[in-house]
Amino acid sequence: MSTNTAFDSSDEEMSSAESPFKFPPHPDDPAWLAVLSRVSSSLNLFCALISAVIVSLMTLLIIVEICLRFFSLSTFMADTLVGYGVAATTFLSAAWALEHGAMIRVTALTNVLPSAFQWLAEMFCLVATEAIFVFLINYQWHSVYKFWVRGTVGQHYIKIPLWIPESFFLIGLTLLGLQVLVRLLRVLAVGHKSEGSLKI
Amino acid sequence: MSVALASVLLLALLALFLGLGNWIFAGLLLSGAGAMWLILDFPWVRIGAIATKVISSSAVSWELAAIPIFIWMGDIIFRTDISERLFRGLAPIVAKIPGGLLHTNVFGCTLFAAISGSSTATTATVGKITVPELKKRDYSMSLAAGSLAGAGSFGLLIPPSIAMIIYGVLAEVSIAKLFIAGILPGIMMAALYSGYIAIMSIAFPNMAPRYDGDISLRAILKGLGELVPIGALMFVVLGSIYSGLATPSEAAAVGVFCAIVITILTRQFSVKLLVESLMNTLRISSMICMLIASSAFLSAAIAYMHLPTMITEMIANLNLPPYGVLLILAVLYIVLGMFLDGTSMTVMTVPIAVPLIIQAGYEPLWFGIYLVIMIEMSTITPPVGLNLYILQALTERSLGATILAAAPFFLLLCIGTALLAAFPQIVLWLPSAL
Repeated sequence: MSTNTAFDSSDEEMSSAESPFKFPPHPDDPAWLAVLSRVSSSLNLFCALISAVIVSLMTLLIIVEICLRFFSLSTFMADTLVGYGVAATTFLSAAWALEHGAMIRVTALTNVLPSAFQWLAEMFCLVATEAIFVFLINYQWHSVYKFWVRGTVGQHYIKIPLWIPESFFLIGLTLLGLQVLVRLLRVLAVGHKSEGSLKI
Repeated sequence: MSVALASVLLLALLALFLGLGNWIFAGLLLSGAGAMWLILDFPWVRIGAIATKVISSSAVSWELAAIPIFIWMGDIIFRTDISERLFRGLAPIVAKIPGGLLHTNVFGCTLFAAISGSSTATTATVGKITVPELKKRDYSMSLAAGSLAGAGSFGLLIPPSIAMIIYGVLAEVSIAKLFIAGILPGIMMAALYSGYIAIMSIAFPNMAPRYDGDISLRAILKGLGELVPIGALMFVVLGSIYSGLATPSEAAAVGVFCAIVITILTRQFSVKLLVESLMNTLRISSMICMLIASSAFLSAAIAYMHLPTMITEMIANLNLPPYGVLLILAVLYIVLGMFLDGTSMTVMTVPIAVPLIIQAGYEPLWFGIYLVIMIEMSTITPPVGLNLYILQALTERSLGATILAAAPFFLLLCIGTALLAAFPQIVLWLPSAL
């Protein structure tokens, strides 16, 4: 199989990844990395649960809006809140989805490379990805801070301070950056083979 | 910088960041930033400002809400006994058609596709019950696997379709019109598949033994009763869109509500089912929406390079007939489909392909259906054909045998595409009539 979500996946890892509330096991991690990994996994799961609540609320809000329509009424904010809700769920659950192997990667080429080259390719990918995340975090932080200081609000019926929706992207990027850092440290500390998650 | 050099550099960046096995969404971000820095010579401050603005705003969308909510609806139904009901309901109805129960694959996928936007979910749901039943009755496993491979991809073509929502958002085409446009091509493809199964069964009778079950009128009526839950959900979701009462996002929310009601009425509801379906929804929708958001940044880079305009002008100067452009795109998509999944293919190619197709005289609405069929092909072409791996596991045959079984249905998809190109009204008539 050439498209998968990571390199190796044992049955144990697959079964754990299938349970949304369990952290993927990494028995070979040194103690310091296990602590960091647990912090990252806990934050990922916490934000994924918030995303789940947001999806439920979005669905509920749309149904309420449809019901109100029968009485010629409207919340006047469903489209705005649902739009921001989509962004919030996407960014808040991205790191959890990455950790649980839902993000696609193409491994047609790397699968046929010798092990040492696979390690180098993985290092390159992780360093490049971490670099772009740190770069984006830096600029997104400035953006959120600017909205906070200026008190900028959205141009909709409901005046939402823009630093709130912009923060979802910042939080998502930070969690992604932490998750990739954990993977990077794991590849350095434990080696390539221990890194794995679900195949699709 | 010339269009050729800019294109080659961009392709080189994509090949580097995707080919080395990076996550596709991260590869798109890196390629976009790399293109702005290397090709456009933008300062990093400007790249950072563009990236954060484009990515964060591209995910704020009412239309995109249909993606997580439709996935949730399909996932709730996927966790019920829907596949057993589909088989029990369809078996007495299709038993007399040449090919017998093999048609449960085609009709089952067509029906399930009407409540699910995913081809993998359609293949897995229908296949998990039809494959063991067909195997037990000595049906040709080659024809069973092939028909499932082909019909499983209906999840993309028959509305509601996640692929159509993504295309609609990216190409700014009405999602409701795309949903309507997919119906006739979907029925046409189902007829092509069923016709092929019937012809093969008449030519080689041992491929499809006679059905030994009850096929009386009473059995048929009882079978139709089994299909009531799926019919009700189809009626509510598609009916609300086609009647103009609801947008696709609203129809998705109503669909989730109805799916929950169905699980309660059929005594299958549990909090565990609801929570697990919701968490699985997050995995898939986050992956798709992250791809859309990161591709928006790459699209911005491509737009700053004026690449769509330049490529369109270049192709126009070649004086290719419209079919020539379609053929080039078909080859490109088939090759891409061997290595990429449908969502990645869509987000990476739409910014360039849509201006090209408009230049060639085709409607973006028509191209949406064409693109969906190209994505369908990608699900059954090796080495990356997700449906092939699902079928391999279901039929317990080798991957090579599964690929061979799917090959005739791949050719039928090609024939279907040619028919749509020759008669665009198959796609365009229903949206203009409704």
